[in-house]
Amino acid sequence: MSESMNRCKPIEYAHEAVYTVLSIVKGHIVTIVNFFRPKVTLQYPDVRWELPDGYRGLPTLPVDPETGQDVCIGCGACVRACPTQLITVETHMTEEKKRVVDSFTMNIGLCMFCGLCAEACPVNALCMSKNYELAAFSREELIYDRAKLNEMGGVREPKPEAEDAEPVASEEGAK
Amino acid sequence: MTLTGIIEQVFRWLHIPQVWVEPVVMFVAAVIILFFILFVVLYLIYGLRKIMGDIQARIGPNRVGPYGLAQTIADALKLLAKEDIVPACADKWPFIIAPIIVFAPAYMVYLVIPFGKGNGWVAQDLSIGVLYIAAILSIPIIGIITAGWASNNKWSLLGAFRAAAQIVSYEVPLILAMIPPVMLAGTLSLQGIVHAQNGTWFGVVPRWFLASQILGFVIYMAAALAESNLIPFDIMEAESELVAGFNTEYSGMKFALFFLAEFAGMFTICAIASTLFLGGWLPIHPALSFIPPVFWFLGKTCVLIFVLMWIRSTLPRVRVDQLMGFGWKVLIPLALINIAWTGAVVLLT
Repeated sequence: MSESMNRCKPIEYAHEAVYTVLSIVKGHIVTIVNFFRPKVTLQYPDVRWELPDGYRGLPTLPVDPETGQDVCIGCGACVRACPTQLITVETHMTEEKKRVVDSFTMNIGLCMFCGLCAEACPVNALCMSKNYELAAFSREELIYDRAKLNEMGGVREPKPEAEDAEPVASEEGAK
Repeated sequence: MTLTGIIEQVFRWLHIPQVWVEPVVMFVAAVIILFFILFVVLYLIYGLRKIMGDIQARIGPNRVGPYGLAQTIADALKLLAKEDIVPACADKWPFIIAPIIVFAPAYMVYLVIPFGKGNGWVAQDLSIGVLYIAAILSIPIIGIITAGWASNNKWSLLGAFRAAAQIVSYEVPLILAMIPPVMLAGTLSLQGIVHAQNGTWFGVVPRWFLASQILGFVIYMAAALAESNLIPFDIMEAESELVAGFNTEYSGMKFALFFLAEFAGMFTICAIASTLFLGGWLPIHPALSFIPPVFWFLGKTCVLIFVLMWIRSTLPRVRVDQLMGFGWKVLIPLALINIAWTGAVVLLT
């Protein structure tokens, strides 16, 4: 400020005027360059985003094409892992000491797609699908049962970090 | 065949006294101009949304009709169908009259604008055309102040105060910038000004007044931007400070009239600029005169409108004190210098 005070007033004024005009011209060049740039708008319902690998959509129970069923063993790891506690699993034991899953419900209205449930699943039954269009007309419609989670799709493929996750799980089992 | 000729023929055929020809011709011309304004405004809004979309790397309206061409028609119909609210505490009659006062001058200016060669393309070629425009352009401010006062709303009133300060001070450079073309042409008639720009220098450069009036043109455009409150100078309806300025309380049809006036004004200032500085309906080179004059006129006007929209989507809004400072300390001295320079040009040629 003091430096400009020392300068002659008209020169300073002229300097400012030139600077103003130049910066306005510069701004117009920026906008006209953008005028000819391709559009970035994605016209959503007609054109869809190509989802990247590792995209976390709704966690689902993908069906095994061989058996026609999902592979959930009812261990409850996902129930414990879920931060919003939206998963409920009901199981009972058969006489041969085998666990049978009676019901598997998720209130997806609470889901924040963190993926901790899929990470916790020891048999990789719960996977993050790429489904993100989950709008419904009522809250009741957002409570998904096992059949609904089966039909929501998703591909059951071993996650890249599955190998890392396994020793942790076995450690916990050892304790 | 001119409009008068057609109507005279029809009246002779229907045995209606010829006394009625003149008023009917005026009425038909007024209706044609009104529909022209409505059409132009609808597609100016569409154009603005598309151009701003392009500049922001978006698409803009593209859903209603092919390329979204029916979007503004749908918007207009929606505006017409809206409830026409008059606030309980508003001053009723001024509140209703204000949008009409604002719209009427924007419409009246079209009386003298020459769209093409000859008398068939201008509603009335007044011999004092430029003076008429200068006079008419200063009327809307009365409507704006009325609107701000009648709304009984502090934002409206603040907007109206700002509008009064801004429009009254920018009228001076606007009219000072309109004087040089009149000096060069030696006439106030707009057709006369266009005719004075006929011909070329060295067979290439068109003899438009822009050649000696680049400064005048820039001053005119800057003052006209402020006069019709377009974006770098839209402090009177600054959304972030004043809600919507003088039209805060307006909705439905009355708001549509303000909107119509704003966009009609945008077309008007560009039309006047192309007439005064860019040779109106004259072709850029006599060899290109096979294109009808009206297309030359509309083409030049559209280029100027594009420039306005380009400015609008580039520059941020100026501060009130900067605006007044720019008007009084920059534009008016420059406009006076420009008049002196034009005097020298007229003296030497």
